[in-house]
Amino acid sequence: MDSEAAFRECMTAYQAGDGSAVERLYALFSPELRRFFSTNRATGPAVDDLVQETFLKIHSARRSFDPARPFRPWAFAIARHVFLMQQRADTRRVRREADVVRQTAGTNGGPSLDLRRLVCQALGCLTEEGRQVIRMRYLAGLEFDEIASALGIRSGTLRVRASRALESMRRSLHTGNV
Amino acid sequence: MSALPDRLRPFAGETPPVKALRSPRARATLLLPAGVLFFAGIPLYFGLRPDIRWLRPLILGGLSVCQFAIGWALVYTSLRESVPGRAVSTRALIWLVALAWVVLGAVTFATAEVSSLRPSIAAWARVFFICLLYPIVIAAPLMMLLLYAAFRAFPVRPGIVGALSGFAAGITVDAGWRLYCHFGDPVHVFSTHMLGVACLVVLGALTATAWANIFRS
Repeated sequence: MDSEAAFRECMTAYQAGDGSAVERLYALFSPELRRFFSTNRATGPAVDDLVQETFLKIHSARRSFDPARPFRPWAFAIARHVFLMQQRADTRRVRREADVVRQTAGTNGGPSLDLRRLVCQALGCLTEEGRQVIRMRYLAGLEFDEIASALGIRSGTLRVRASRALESMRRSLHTGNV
Repeated sequence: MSALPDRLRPFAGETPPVKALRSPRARATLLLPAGVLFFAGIPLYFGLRPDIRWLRPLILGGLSVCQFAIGWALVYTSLRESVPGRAVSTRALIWLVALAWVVLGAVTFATAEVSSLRPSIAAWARVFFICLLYPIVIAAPLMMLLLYAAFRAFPVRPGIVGALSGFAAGITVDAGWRLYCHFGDPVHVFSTHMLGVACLVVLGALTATAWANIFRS
């Protein structure tokens, strides 16, 4: 029996509810699937995951297999779909992780983790008013006028307050008194 | 023999038997009565347009049947697209969609040659909403039926299947709606009827994508 006929026979039995057909199909088809995913640059455990995911999808989609038609185009269309979905999920995950790294470790030209810690400590030395101004101006990125209207004070007062807070932070950082 | 991984072991026991789906052509044929119901139901329920006798019913009927046939070609394509490994090529898809728009345009201009009544300025907004919303509301159940039929298989590109189903439902219902709509002016047809069809394409694509995300995750 050639492999195509064996695949079709397995799938027909699978559709009829024969559980042992799953094992036979896995034994017959998983090596081909592994090769397919390996040539698509998947490696090690990722290949195993993709093979298993493909079989799960084959289970969900088994109704759509037409025993009169070849098995491989049907199965590889599902495998390709699984691979693309995995790639999309990976891309999303990598992007999310990059965002987290950027936020915490300050990649992309931002301050290093140590510097961030020092700044936070220097902020802790300020008065509540000074801390508020620095946060709104330099962390939230608001304009002086916006902050002034948010705090209900004059812009000039705010600038003085910001200048004093910055000077105080600068001194703290220079003297290492943080 | 490769050992079955744990995740797949539950399927090695008794799996519920399933009946293999019929071919896309057979399923499209089975759905045909529903399409005819939507196509013929509109003029039967709302009545025929008043200028029908000037339009030489045979010609108009022929054009409408032609539009309906294109709609059903889209249903067949959508059902075929929903079976893994049987997707039509992108080029064929583009040709079919272009042909559908050409047929829509041809029906519009052929009708306008004979009768191109235009809604009055006062009634324009009312006519716009009736001719835009009614076909969408009428086509929505047909679109959902087509999506249900498609999702009985395993569409690997749900967005395309949904867009095709929406397009098919829109064209089919529009074929019937034109037999009722009093206005044959191309500006009216393009700005309302075709906008409705375009809305159904988008609605179909979004619904199918959401369907796939919800029921397959």
